[in-house]
Amino acid sequence: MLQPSFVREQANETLSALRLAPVDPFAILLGKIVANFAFLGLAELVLLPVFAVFYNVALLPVLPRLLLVLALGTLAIVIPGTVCSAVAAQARMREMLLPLLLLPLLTPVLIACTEATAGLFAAPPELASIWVEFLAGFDVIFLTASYFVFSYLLEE
Amino acid sequence: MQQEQSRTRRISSSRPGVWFGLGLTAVFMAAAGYAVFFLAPEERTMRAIQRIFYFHVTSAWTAFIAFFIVCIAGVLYLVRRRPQDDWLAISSAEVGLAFTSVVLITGPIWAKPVWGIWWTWDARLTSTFVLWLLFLAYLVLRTLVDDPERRAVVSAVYGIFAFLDVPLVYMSIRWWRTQHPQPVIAGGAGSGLNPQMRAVLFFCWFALTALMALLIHQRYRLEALRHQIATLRLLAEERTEQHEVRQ
Repeated sequence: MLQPSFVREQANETLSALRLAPVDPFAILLGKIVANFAFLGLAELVLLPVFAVFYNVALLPVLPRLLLVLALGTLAIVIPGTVCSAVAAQARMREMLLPLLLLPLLTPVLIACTEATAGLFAAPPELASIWVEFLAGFDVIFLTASYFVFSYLLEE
Repeated sequence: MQQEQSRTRRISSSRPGVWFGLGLTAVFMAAAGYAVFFLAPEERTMRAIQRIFYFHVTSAWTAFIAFFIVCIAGVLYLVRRRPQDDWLAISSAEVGLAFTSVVLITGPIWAKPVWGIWWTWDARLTSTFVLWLLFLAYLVLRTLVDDPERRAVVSAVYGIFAFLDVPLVYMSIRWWRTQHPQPVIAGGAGSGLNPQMRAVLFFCWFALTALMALLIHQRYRLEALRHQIATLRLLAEERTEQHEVRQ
């Protein structure tokens, strides 16, 4: 999902066009993040009812809170994911490299998302605010870091 | 050319300093070993097994310093673009990974007799393992980018991200579950260490930090020599070409 973000730009040699575009490099990154967010979010929305049926969980009563967790979690996957795809695009064996770079980086996100979702599906559904805050903090930290480093990744 | 010569001289002239550093570190390490086995008091319940703690905990601290250097060197490289900063980053990453491996190996050796198991997915074990994976990925990334400047830039970015991730990994796993002994240094109430044990612990940390500095310095020199060989080879090729043209 995240892989083509920059690989396709390189294959079609459109990355130079993006470099020449009179916009902040961070705007390019944000565009990529929004696109990846939309794709991943769409996939989640399709899979959500399917898995709710498979595992027989009541989705509707917790839906608004679940959507909050999904949105924050998806963003937390997509931000480092998009930056790492720009990193991996410059290396050999990029298809293999991206998951290797990303998986350890995303451990806290995966834990926070699973814990938050597990809380929502517990007997009295409860959303631990600590995990929501954690995911929001993760998003803010990595978006800020990306803001500072991304322009270097676009250099020729 | 003159610049090249001066660089050659600078690298080879650091040799006596290296021997001095090596000797000093050897003395520190031997003293630390002596302190751990003969000066530190025996722990009441764990007996001799507890003594691995002095190297286990201090290796973790030392690895953390090394990874901090990777992050700082990455930031410095992005800002200043000196290849030296990149050499420092790769040297520290490798040494830090070696120290993390020591932590991951000594941990189970201690855990088997004390906990009765080699490994558990506890907060600190898991986060140390993730830390190890992060910097392993960092080294793999470096081997897969050929152009030195691109390699320096992308690995600096990933090094910064990896280091930022460390406290987050730790927090998330800590809230998730924990079995590891609570921090005895700078921990809460009820924690604490015999003053003699504490002194031995800090001396071990000092010795390991000296070892880390020595290893990073050696690795840095290796990187500098590699760079020098590459530049000299380029120079030689240029010369040969000029010679052929003249003939």
